[in-house]
Amino acid sequence: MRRRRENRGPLIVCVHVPRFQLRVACGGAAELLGAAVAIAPSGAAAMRISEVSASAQAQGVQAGMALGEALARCPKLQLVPGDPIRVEQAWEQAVRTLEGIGAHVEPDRPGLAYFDAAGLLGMHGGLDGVIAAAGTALLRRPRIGAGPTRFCALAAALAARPRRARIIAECEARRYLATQPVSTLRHRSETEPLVPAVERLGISTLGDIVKLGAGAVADRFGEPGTIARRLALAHDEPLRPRRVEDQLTESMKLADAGSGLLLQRTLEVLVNRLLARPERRGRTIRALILSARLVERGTWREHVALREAIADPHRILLALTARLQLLPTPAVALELAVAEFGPATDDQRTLLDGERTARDARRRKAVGQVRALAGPHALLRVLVVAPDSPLPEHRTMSTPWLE
Amino acid sequence: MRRLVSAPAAMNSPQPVRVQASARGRPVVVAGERVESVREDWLHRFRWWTDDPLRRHYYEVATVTGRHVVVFRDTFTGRWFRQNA
Repeated sequence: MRRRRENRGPLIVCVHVPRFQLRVACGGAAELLGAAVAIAPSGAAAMRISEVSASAQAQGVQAGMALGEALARCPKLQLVPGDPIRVEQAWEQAVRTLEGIGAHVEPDRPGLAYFDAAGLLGMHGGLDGVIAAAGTALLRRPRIGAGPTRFCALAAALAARPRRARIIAECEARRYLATQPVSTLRHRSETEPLVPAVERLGISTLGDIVKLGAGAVADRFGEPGTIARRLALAHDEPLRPRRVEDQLTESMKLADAGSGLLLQRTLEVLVNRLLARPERRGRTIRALILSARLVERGTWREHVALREAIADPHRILLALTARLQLLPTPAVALELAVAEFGPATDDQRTLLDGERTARDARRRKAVGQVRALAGPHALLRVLVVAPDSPLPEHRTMSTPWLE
Repeated sequence: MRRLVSAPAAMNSPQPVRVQASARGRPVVVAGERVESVREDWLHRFRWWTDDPLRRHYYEVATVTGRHVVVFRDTFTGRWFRQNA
């Protein structure tokens, strides 16, 4: 292990919390001790299990394995339903905690994140200080690795022990990566499909891939092979840290087990509420996260990227309503969050000038004046949510008036 | 800045009301006004398949002042509420 930097290049730190989704789904790491547990297949995907506990892994069960095969290998395997909403919330909290130490974080899948420590060394008194701050902030005993590239840091984190970070200097990165197993490539989406084929051919380390030569690798494995070889040679893309955005979320419990019209109307209320939030500051919305808590145990989550950044409630609703069809079971609560904002804009898609435009402008001005006087919720409209509900309080809701 | 109205919310929520009922459970005085007649009554059983079921007995009554009021009794708690149904 090296503790001294030998050059001034990027110093990528990888923070890896093993089995993050399983820990959240089980309610903590203690529940996993000694138990063969796996995340059950979700309704929409193929019948393949997700993350598995160490005990299950010791009995030959692996993430991504078909459920039948997993149960055949480990008859005592317990299945827990995945909880994407809680996972997302816990991961968001973890990433924000990392950002709290000054890091510009590039989050990967839940449980895996990267940041460049080069700008933080002075703030935390060197690399050890940065790593200690990251480890203390997360409170989930992360495995931490550092190296000159993202992939090198990942390989170091996968080999690191809790509370003992592994740091790879730039001059020894290639040598270190050459000894690492090809299964490391599973943690990168571009190279993940390559791993079974490579392992079947008896190629066990990244160094073996490098030895094959660029031409042979490209010929046999195509683009994923070329990327894998480049990663093994300690070449990687630069980090793409996320922009820190305001968290805008609106949620609503559904009185009846929601489906059909009730869901659509509830979604309309959520869209209106989200667009009426003053924190939006006139910005358009580029992507949203629609999630639901299901009648049966478990949650559902869908990332909806809009074709262009808009703030038109009707068009946003149109994009979201189609996704509601993917709900596996009726929902008891619906949540809508802004994943990414677009540029601020006032008037969109005004095709015709004239009296109507002038009237709209006057109305917007009036709405703005009333809101300035009486607050953001001063103007509301009544929305019929569930007209056939036997309970009168469920039939209508008040929702922000959007001009 | 003074906020004149409340945040967006469900509408027509039940409001607690003081009701005197007869021995048979029918309202005779609603919010201090004697009930002239019970025009209609109906029973709602809702969410009976969950751990949080609802059971309400609604009464549409006419009071001596000529007002028409809809009240219901939560049959689990025995409390009375007023609501536009």
